[in-house]
This record gives sequence, C-alpha cells and structure tokens, in this order.
Amino acid sequence: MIQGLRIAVAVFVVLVAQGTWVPRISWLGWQPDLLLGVVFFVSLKKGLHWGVWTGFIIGLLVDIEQPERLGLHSLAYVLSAFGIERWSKNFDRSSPIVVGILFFLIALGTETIRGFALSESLLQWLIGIFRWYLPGALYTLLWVGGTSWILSRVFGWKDWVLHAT
Amino acid sequence: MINPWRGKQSTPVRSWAGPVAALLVSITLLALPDRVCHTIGSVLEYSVFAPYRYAVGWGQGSLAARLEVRRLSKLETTAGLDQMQMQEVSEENRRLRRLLGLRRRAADILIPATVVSRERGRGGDVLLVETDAAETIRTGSPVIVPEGLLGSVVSQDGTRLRVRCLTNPQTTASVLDQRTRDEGILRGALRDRDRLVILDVPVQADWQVGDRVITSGLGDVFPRGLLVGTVEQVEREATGPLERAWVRPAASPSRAEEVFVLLPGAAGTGDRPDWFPSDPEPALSTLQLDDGRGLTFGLAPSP
Repeated sequence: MIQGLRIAVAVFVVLVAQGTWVPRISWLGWQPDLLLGVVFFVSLKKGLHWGVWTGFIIGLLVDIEQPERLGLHSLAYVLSAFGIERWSKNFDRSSPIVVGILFFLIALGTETIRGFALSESLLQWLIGIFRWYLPGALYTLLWVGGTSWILSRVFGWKDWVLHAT
Repeated sequence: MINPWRGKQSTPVRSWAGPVAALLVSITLLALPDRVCHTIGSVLEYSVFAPYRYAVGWGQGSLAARLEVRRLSKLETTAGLDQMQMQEVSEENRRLRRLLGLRRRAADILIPATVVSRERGRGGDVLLVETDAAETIRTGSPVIVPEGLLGSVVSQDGTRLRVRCLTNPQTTASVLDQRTRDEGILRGALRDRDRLVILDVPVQADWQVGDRVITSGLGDVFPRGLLVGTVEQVEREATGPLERAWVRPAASPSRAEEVFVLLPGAAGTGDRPDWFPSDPEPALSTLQLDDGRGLTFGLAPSP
C-alpha cells in the first residue's frame, strides 16, 4: 500500500514536471521523457505487472492530449515495460552503468515505436531514428540519469533510482 | 508463480493475463476510428483522469501555459496602452508642430485661443473661442489656423471671443488671385455652406481652377497675403458679362481646435514675411518671448 502510494506520488510529480518545466528544457527539438523514467524504475522495482499498468495509465494520460493517437503512448510504455522485464533478467541490475545502458535502449525503443506510428513513410521513420529518436533517447538518459544520481546522492533514495534492485 | 498484486501463488496464465490485457487494450485503442478515440479521450479526461488533469493542468491549462498566457496578456495590455498613449502624443505633437511652424512664419503677434463651441445654424458658421489675453484683442481682428485664414472676431465677452468664419454668408473679404493678381470680393455662399464665392468677376479676369486665393490687404480687417483657399469652379453668371468663382476654403471651422488671433506687431506691419505654410521657415533661434501676451516671431536680428 505504502509502495503503491509512493509510485502514485512519483507519477504525479513527474507528470507535473513533464507538463510544466520540461518543455522549457527542450533542446534542438529533443525533449527528455521523464515519464519513461518512472515506468522504467517501477518496472525494475515492482515487476512486470506494476510496470505495465503504470505505463498503460501514464500513456493514456499523455494520449488524451491527442485523442486521435489514443493508445500510442500506452502501447509504447507497455512494450517498454515488457522489454525491461525481459532484458533486465539477463544483466547485472545492481550496476548503474548496465542500468543506464538498458534505460537508453528502452528509451530508444520507445521513441522508435512512437516515431513509427507518427511517420508518414518508412524513409521518414529511418531518417527520424538518427535525427530525432537516437539523440532524444540520449537526452532522456542524461536527464533521467542525472536526476537519479542527484536523488541518490542528496536524498539517499537508492532504492528508487539506479540501484533499483 | 506469485501473484504480483497480492503476493499469493498464481498460475502462469493468470500472471500474464494483466500485462497482455493492457497490451491488447493499447493496440485496440490505437486501431479505433478517430471519432471513437475522441469520445473515449473526452470521457477519460473528465472522469477517471479529471483529478490528474486538474492537478497537472494538462495542455493549455498547464502551469507553464498559464504563466505564459498571463505574461503575454499583461504584455499585450501594456503594449495596447503604450500604443494608445503614443497615438495621442503623436497627434498632439503633430498639431503643436504645425502651430509652432505657423508661429515662426508670422511677424505679427499671435494670441492663442481654444475653440470651446461651434455654431452652424441659420446665421452661419460662428466659433466661440477662449483666450487669456482677451483684453488686448479688438473687434475685427483676423483669426487664423495653420491652414490659413479662418475668420474674424465680431464680439467679445470677458475671455471669450465670438469668431465669424469666412464660410458665414455675412463675412466679406477682399481677395486676390495669387497667380494673376486679379481682385475680387469673397463671401460665404448661401446655397453651399462649405464653399466661398467671389461674385461679379469680370470675364476679362483670369481665375482658373486650382489658383490660390489670398487676402488683398485692402480695408482694415485682414492683412495682405493670408491664404483663403483655392479656386474650385468658375462659372458664367446667368445674366450679364460676369462670372463667379467658387473657392474651397483652406481652413475648416469644423476641424479647428486651437486658433490664433492676429494682432499687428510692435515693430509695425510694413515688412511682413509670407504667410504661406509652404514657404521656408526662419531658423528656430528667432523665437522671442514677448511680454506675456503670447509669442512674437520674426526674422533673426542682424548681428
């Protein structure tokens, strides 16, 4: 119950951040996806069920802003949660570097899924991988990783951040 | 397998049912038509996710957007006020510059006065103007505006002067065609209140459309050279070898706000500069303050 409440609070805080000041740190059209960070850490910490449903709900919250794409972000986050569940078992989850690389791959996958649905042609999607999705995933990694590092150092929230297990 | 929600044992099928359901729902939502998606989105937005939406202020209602809208709204209001003030100042500046320009052209004393009332009844155009130096003004003094001659003072009551305009049928003035120097007697037209007419023009005289009409200086009322207007039409009288010239007045009584009463200068009226606004202006250094009755302007004193 307490953990569920913590997840709800974290989702709420990140949603507020994503809707308010995150657009202001957009750089060259790239914007960090802090919501993916929440899905990622919930998936690592709580497992597949929590990760999938957290991603589904967060995705719906994002999607209602653009109802014609309803389900797109949900699908992307749900698939991310599946990917985290699948891959995280094969790596050392206590290593921040490994977790960081995993997060980058998940972010790239999420961006690519979203980009595939939004692109008008295959060529545009392929170009978008290098122009948008790859740098976007890196930018997200920088912000989520940096925020996690600060939280772990300053507040000692090690069970929430990179040392997710 | 352990149930992820309750920590109890669960079959593999059940443990995967939830995540797979979420996946299927997402794919289904993505495949639905836009109209249905909009409906579902609206329902979710104002029901299940209403608290979130309210708290986060999603989209346009977000905190960032609100701050931005507030900032832009404030900026727009300020800009609107500034623009209105600028327009007012600009208009005032333009009017005062014209008045100042006229002052600099005059060698006589100009007493400023403000129009406080306009009458355009059966008796003709009459302005009521107010000035602080009314005691120095005598009946019959010409009244001018930057555009040209407006009329003359016909009566005085304290600080208020009654000005009969040129367009008043009771007003007459001796005028010249500036180009040909032909003379005529000008008066306000009875049938056309916005024009002036010169009656009994000999057919030998050469009044043409577009000619500038100025005061001739004959008589004691108007000094020579004040712009009256331009010839707009010349027509033959119905009887006799005479013509009449219609003149469009340069100064409009309906637009006058500040006027000047013209008094003879202290140095006499012998060598006046031209009155026309198109003439070159003397240097600004020629401005001289008089004894409080107004501003006296003239040519720069020789060293």
